[in-house]
Amino acid sequence: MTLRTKPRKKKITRRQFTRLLLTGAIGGSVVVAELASRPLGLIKWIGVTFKRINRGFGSQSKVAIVNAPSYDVDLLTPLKTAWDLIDAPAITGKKVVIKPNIIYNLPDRAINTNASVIEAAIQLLQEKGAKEVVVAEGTAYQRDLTDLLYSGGIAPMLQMHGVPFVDLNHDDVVKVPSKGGYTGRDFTWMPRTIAEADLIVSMPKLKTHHWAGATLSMKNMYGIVPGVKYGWPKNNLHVTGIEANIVELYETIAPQLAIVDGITGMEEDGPLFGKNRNSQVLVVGTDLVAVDATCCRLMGIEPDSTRVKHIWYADWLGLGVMNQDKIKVVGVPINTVRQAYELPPNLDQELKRY
Amino acid sequence: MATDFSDVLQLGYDYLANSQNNDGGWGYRRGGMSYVEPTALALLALFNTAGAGGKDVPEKRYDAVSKGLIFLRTQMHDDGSWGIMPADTGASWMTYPVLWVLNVLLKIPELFSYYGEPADQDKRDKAKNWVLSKGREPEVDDDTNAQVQKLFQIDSTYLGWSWGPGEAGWVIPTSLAIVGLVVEDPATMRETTEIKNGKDYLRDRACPAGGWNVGNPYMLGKKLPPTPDATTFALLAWRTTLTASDFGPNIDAVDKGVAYLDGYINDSNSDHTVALCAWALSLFKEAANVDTYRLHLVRGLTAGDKIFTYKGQQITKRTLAGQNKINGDWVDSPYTTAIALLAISDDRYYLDPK
Repeated sequence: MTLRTKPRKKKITRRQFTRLLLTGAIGGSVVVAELASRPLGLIKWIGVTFKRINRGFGSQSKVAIVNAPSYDVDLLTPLKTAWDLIDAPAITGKKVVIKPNIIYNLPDRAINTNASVIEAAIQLLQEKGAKEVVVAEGTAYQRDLTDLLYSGGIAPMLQMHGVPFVDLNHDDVVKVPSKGGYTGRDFTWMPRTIAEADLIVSMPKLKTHHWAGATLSMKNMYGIVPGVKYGWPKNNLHVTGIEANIVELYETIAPQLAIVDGITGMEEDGPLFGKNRNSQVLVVGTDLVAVDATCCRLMGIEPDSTRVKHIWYADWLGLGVMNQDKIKVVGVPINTVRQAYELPPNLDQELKRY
Repeated sequence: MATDFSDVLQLGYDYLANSQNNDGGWGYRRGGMSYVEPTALALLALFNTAGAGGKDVPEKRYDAVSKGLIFLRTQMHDDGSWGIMPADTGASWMTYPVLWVLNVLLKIPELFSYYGEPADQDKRDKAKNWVLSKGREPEVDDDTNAQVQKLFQIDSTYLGWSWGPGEAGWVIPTSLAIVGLVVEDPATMRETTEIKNGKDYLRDRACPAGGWNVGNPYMLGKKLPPTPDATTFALLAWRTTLTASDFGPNIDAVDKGVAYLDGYINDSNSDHTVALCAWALSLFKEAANVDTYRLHLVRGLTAGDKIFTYKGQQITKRTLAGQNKINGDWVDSPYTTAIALLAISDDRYYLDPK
């Protein structure tokens, strides 16, 4: 029989204990930080933080506001004025895609980007030397938008200028890596027309939105994803988070210019059932976060983390700037054209109402 | 006496055969990427006895159908689903029209003897299993159902079919899934829980004034209008599932949907929408009216070009062009042409294959 001696307990030294404690604390902190920074992840969060610090020393984003009293007057001149006021992108020799906001045709409601504003943008881009200008939309509520184009005067206007229209819902598609990683999608199917464009111009309407707070140049990117893959009304994108999707699409598609139709906007229950409101402006800029933040302020809405989350989110991620001290508004002073739009319904209250 | 459309049909079938891509599929436009949905509809149109499903089939059309079926067979995923096109490895709603094609192929002996393969039965069974198990929207909990009821005034205990697995149900995929499933054996399938529930879903999603849209008859208490595309597919589903026990709310929903399309067809400027309207109306209206819809679809604008006024300028645009008398197409789209041919043909093999 062999006697086994009881192993002696190894004593841990104070130094070892301190080291262990420190390692545990660091490890725990990393785990907590990783969890807290989701869906970005710690490394990206650190990157964003550095970006924000750097931006503190950077230049302001310019946003131009110009008066445009109605759709029946010359809109090219005020648009040119706005163009000259911002640091406009080079257009010469580029294939440019204009993405307006065309959703539904409800009588007497300012839902869609007006044909006259799209026309002025086409003329401007052609004058600036665009190799090709295409107007493209992938509407969310129906598969065939031909009748929408006719009822809004867009189709005859395009014919007059010889500008083609592309239905993005049924275009050829290509797989594009999703930037940002906010939705969990590694890639997004994109219409070939968008993937091959040199420059994308977002042309939304100035509207409130009952889910997103406001629908402007970033939210307008929803209309780009193809219905054949994401369905109608592209609800798959709502399910994975409206704000996360807006920001991810903005970062992935990277439109370089926004021209907002704020001549007649929509207040209260936008984007479809709100009331018309005449703001009589066009808003133009290359930083779409700054443009959208300025448009919100034009409507009397502060784009904070409670009311228009996606703008706040995009600013926080360093995709553009939202704060007033970082935006240089040029052209018409914002105070002279700001109006208090009726806010969209609070969905929590709506739930109680029914 | 009913108009003889046989020449129109022959031209159209030839166009389909000529517009097929080298991979055997068809696109939403000629020369565009092959997608599963237009390929399925082109095959359904060509299955007509006067197309490529009867005796003395022209060789070109025979080859087109054979190649089209090979395209579909080779795109099937292991789980019995189809993506939207070859590069799409995810499951999609386009599985529903493929199930429809396979059921028609398997049900018509003559057709099967020309084009069928023994493995088609197994493919159909796997597809059916996928549609029933993964295509249907998942059940929601009581809280979600109550919220949805309050916001949208819809009953989410009725389960429809989705654009992608795990997502909410919508009208067009639900309609396509119902048709795809029911044509296998209408008498039996109509009595299944899934189809009965699908019918309840469609009735529940009908717009109050008649017709269907994506699936939101209301939005925060406001009525959303119907659209011709969703209404057409919903009516196709009703056409395959109506029984004597449907008198009451179901028939009312169908009648109102038919009345909506009947009112819409003459105002539309879109060949595609007119083809959709004519297709659905041809399944419900009397022969004399059907003749009128078909003539409208074939001739386009017969009373001269349409004049649109844009900013005081008159723009002439033959918006509704009708069938191209040389190539046999509508708007050079295999997808639209397939729908137009289904609308013009009296053959109902694709809904009640025997």
